[in-house]
Amino acid sequence: MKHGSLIVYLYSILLLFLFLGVGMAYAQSDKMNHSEHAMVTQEAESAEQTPDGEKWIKEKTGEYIPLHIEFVAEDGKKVTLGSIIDRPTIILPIYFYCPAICSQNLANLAEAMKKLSFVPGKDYRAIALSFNDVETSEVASRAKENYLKIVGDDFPPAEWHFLTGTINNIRAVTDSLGFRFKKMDDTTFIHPSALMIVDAKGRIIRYVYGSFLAGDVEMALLDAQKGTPSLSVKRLLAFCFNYDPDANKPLFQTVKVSVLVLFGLVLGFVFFYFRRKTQKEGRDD
Amino acid sequence: MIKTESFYDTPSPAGLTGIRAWLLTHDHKRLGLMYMWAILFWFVIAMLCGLLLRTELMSQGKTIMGPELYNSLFTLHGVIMVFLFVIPAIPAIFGNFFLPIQLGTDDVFFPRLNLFSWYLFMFGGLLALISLFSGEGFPDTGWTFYVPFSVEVNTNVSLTVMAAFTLGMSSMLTGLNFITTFHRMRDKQMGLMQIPLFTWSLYATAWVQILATPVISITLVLVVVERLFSVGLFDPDKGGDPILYQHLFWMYSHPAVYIMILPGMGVISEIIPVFSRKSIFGYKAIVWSSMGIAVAGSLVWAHHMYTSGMSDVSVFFFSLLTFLVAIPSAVKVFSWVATMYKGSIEMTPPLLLSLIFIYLFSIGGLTGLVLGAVGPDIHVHDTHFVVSHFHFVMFGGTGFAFFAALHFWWPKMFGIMYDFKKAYIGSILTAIGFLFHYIPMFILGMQGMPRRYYDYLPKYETGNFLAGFGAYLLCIGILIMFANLFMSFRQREPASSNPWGGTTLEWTVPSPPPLHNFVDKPQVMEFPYDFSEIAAQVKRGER
Repeated sequence: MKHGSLIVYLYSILLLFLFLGVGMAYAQSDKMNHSEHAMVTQEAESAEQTPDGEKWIKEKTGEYIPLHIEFVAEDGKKVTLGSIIDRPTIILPIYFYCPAICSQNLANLAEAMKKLSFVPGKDYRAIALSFNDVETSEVASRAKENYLKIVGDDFPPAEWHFLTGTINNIRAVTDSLGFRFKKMDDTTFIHPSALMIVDAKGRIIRYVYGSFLAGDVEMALLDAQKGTPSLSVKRLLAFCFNYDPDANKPLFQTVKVSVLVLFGLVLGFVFFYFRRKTQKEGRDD
Repeated sequence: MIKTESFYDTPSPAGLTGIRAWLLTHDHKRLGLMYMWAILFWFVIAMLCGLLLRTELMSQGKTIMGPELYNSLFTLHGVIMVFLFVIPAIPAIFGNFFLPIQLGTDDVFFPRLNLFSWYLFMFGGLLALISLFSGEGFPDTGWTFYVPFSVEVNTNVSLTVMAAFTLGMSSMLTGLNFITTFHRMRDKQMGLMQIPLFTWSLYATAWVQILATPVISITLVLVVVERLFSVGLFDPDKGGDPILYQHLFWMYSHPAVYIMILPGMGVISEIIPVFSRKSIFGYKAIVWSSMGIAVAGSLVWAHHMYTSGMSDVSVFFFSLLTFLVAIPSAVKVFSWVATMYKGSIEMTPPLLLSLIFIYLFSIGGLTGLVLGAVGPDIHVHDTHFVVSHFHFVMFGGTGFAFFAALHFWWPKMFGIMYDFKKAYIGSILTAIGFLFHYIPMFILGMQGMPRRYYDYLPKYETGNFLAGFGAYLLCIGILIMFANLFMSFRQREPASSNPWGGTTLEWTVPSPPPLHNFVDKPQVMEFPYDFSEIAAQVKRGER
């Protein structure tokens, strides 16, 4: 075959790279996969080692949250996390009077719970935890009333807890979850939107990102039932923050100018070749 | 016809021999073949990754791999398929080979730049490969590199992003070459409405490549800047906006979807009239719909972001614009079907593959409307429904168009004919496997099975088993198809210069073509799809 040599050379190079790569990857995965637990710990450690320490979510899968911490339930009574978490539990950190997407998160969770094949109360419980220490149990009670309407009449109200608490207690729990929030001057908060599933012992099983699909929550609850911490599926980390489109102008201008420069470079390159080519053709004629 | 030496026997530049005649070539045909072998390599690798993924999912629980390997494999499958197969396949292989011939010229406008593009493509591919296996490994951010994950993770995001940047540059330079060739090198007798539809589709694609690629390139560079210097471009804590990244990303990446499908549509527009022996229905409508898709496709990026908290007004507009793209797409499907109406249809493997394309692409397009409408999208987003939809478009569409193009132009590229019977068996098995593979995924998605998990609940087991079974059928079909084509090298049944009865210029030159493509001055027809002469030949019994 006329181009047999091309195929032989090309495939030799590509296959060589591939085999080298697969060999290296195999060696790497062999190191990583001694046990699932080792993997989870390693991931947690590598996150700990990052210099910035400013991650919005620092996944702590496999670690435990403090169950003795006390919060106020929507009926005004004091409860510890341990009194609620005795089976797989969904924890959603938000604040109830949020002008941005917290309400969407709560509604998405309510929609997801409506579709779950697991039975609330028997297989799992849910907690909406306010990290705004100014919010009270009355506020929590009003929010609960709203979202119970979405989740439907079949859902036992006692299985979805709307908790408020002091800033120290809130921080103790959110820090243990690796969840960061920041209060702004206008009393709103910047925070990521994600929920966590813990097992009956308060061990973090999985983080769920995106818009909380029922399937995502179901997979995490299944792992929580088995007590096996698992890798999260990183879809999208949405943020809840006060949006100011004007603040984006400088970045947009940067993109525009850079795109024009890049485009100009390519066009300049082509123009240069075009001139050379036409000059050469002129000489040849 | 006078016996002429084919381009295989005459290296360009002259005097180069052996492997150097390939690796330093300026000949667009040799470059097309060089792309072909590289792209087929990536395709087989990505296909095998996909097969392993489906094998894992065939039964519940851990079957052959754990979650980490599964995550890496599906990212690998996606990145290779999108960047190294679906986007470049048709323009780089068949565009390079046939665009200059269809335009009646001897090469592209910038032959050296063409060679440089091939090297960029290979370099980008190798960078992607290195990023998979070096450092902390391949990014688990998916191919979208969404912030803040892509900024925070320790995996090899920067290198992978540079690979995507390099591949983008390669496709942009190829696009530039096509546009300049289209305008500057076209035969002087050839008016705009005498240009074959495949070339028109490449022209529309090239504009999308040129205009959209710099946006994604700069956006990806900004991700690297953010990783290295923590400027806070996309970090709300520092006044940045993570949603802005998504806008900038999808401004390119949605048009990229049309970079994938437009050339495939061009292929089908060539094949259908040839085997219907009838002029293409609505030539101008197809030309304008290609340009329409290129323009409208550039305005619909935010339909990937319905659930990201955009305002309702924006969602409404983007949903409406998304529906508008369906119009030019439907114009094409209608024109293809209308071309066959009352035609003298001759069934051949390329036509069969084109018909399968129309069927699968239509399903892909219609299910796209389900996702383009806000209401249903909220129910099925991020489920297997989406996976099935984009495979129907990318694989059922572009993939089958690629197979059709391979079977259509194989005799021209290599001067040999393949076995029809085996080609039919391979094509039919591939199509049946495809349906077995992806239809259950639609159902699984509607039942709520999310994407990207290596495991699932017991209720999804039957669907996943069926999908896995389909995957094996599909791969066997593809292997038969390829094996049949490769066997033709051994059998060497010579192909004539016009084995199908085509009317565009590539069918007027010898198979395989000589170095400068044309032995005589190309005769440009008044209309590129005028089959009266072919019909007369059939009548006279010459064909």
